[in-house]
Amino acid sequence: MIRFVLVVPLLLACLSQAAWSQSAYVDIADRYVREGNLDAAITEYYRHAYLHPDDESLSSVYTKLGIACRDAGLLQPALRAFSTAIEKSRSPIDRARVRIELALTHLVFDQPLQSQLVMMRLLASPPGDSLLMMRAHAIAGVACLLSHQWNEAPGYLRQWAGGRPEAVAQTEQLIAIISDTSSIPHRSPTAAIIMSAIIPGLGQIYCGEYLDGLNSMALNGAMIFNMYSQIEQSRWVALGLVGLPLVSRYYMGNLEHAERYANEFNERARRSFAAEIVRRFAEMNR
Amino acid sequence: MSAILRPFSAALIAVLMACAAVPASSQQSDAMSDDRILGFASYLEGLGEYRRAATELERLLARGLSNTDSLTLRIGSLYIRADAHGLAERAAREQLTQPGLSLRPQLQYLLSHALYRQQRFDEASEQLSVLIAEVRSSDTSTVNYKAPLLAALCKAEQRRWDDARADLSLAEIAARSGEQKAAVAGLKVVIDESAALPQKSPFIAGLLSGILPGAGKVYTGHTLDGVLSFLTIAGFGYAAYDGFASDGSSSVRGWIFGSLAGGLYLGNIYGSALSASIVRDEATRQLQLRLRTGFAIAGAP
Repeated sequence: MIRFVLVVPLLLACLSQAAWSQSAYVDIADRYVREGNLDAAITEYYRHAYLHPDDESLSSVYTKLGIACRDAGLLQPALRAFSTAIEKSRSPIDRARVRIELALTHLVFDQPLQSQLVMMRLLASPPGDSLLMMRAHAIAGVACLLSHQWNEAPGYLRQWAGGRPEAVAQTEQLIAIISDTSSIPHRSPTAAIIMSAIIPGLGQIYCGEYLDGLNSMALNGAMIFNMYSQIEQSRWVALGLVGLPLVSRYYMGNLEHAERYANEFNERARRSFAAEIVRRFAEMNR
Repeated sequence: MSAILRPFSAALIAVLMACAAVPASSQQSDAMSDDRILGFASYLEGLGEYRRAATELERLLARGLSNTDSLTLRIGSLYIRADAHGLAERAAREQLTQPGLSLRPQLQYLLSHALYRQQRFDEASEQLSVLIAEVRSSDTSTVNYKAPLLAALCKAEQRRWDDARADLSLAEIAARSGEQKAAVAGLKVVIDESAALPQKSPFIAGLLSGILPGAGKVYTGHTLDGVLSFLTIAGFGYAAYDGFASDGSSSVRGWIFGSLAGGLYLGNIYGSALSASIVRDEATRQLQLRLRTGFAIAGAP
């Protein structure tokens, strides 16, 4: 009995020491992450990976490394870590978890299309974990929204809601907003060009670029007035020398500006609309 | 207690205690052994994590090993690859204060390189001229080939073309292999081409546009822009003159076109200076790209 009492704790101590030595660097790295010292944490995760290349939990260490790199704003090391984590993962569920972190990383770095691709790959071979699938559908939906694929996003969001009555109701409300793309403010580039062709600067003002519009109006107005004076006084040579080059420079430039501002306005409006939908979706997930 | 424990139990406990103590202490010390740290640094270097690799090697340096010169060179080289040029400079300077250095020329070269990468060309040139004088007679080190190349690079960055060519001649003398000689010859071409790159002064561009509107833009290579600027300002100026000539100083047309012409005239001066500045920056970027590519091909820095 005494022998048993002495041997068992020692055996446990022996095993726990061995386990400690395996995960010591990961523990230190985790502590650094909690303290916000991501740089030191990344080094310790690397150290563990180097010292224990055959560790069975290496996929999880590389995932932690990828998350630390992502939070430190290091895209390439994060992608490399997630790629290695996928390679080292031992089960479809582990692989799916890493892919979700990878997709989130693409979203964080404003790469929604890449994020969607990663999720499509995951959804093509479902790991059999309903919670992971739910997250994958949510990320794919957000990726579609952020890349302005208004027709693709509802499908993923409905899949995310699944059979949960409350989520279904909220999702349908959200989808109704997404489907009504006419609520996104829009400025027609053609209309902007025509406006600026008739009254220089008007197209820019239509797109909300008041300063550029007024500047264009003043400059082109003065130029046209000057040309009119020359026509009135029959100064044809002066008109040709001064007027025509000026038309090509300022008037045509005014048309180009009108088109560019309309396109920029539409891009901003789409981004703002997508951000608002994603914000509402995030609130639903709280 | 000794009365309770029988010999078998005591032996088992001893074995288990040893077993419990060994994994933690030996694995920990093994992980921190010099070889493991060197291996880990190489692993990080292979991943492109140069700065982390250098930091690991600094651990070894702090242990006061015998081969600190070569270790410092490796640390410096890693810091340079990580664009941490100040840290490379610090590592080289600290090592150069140590007595009995076996790789002093290489460390001096590292210091010069770090200074060059921080665009401290005068300091780098000064270091290199001392180094070149010291290693000129040496046949064993590649520094006697690389130092004049780096010196030429520093001078070319400062657009001291003749000095750069003189340093290249020294590198040509020091070049051992046919490959090195060919590289130096190629670099001479790069230097000559770089010397011909446009160098525009914002002051001259502004001055020219002040004298003749649009002339500054023509000077910076934007001929059409310059001609159109001239026509605009001249056209508005003439319209203002016409207004004042017809209706006197109370002419509304005169004041409107006069104000526009004045505004455009000043804007043109500013625009010409800005254009020259952009052309100059682009030329500098091109110059650096050509020189650095050429020198990298030549094996230095």
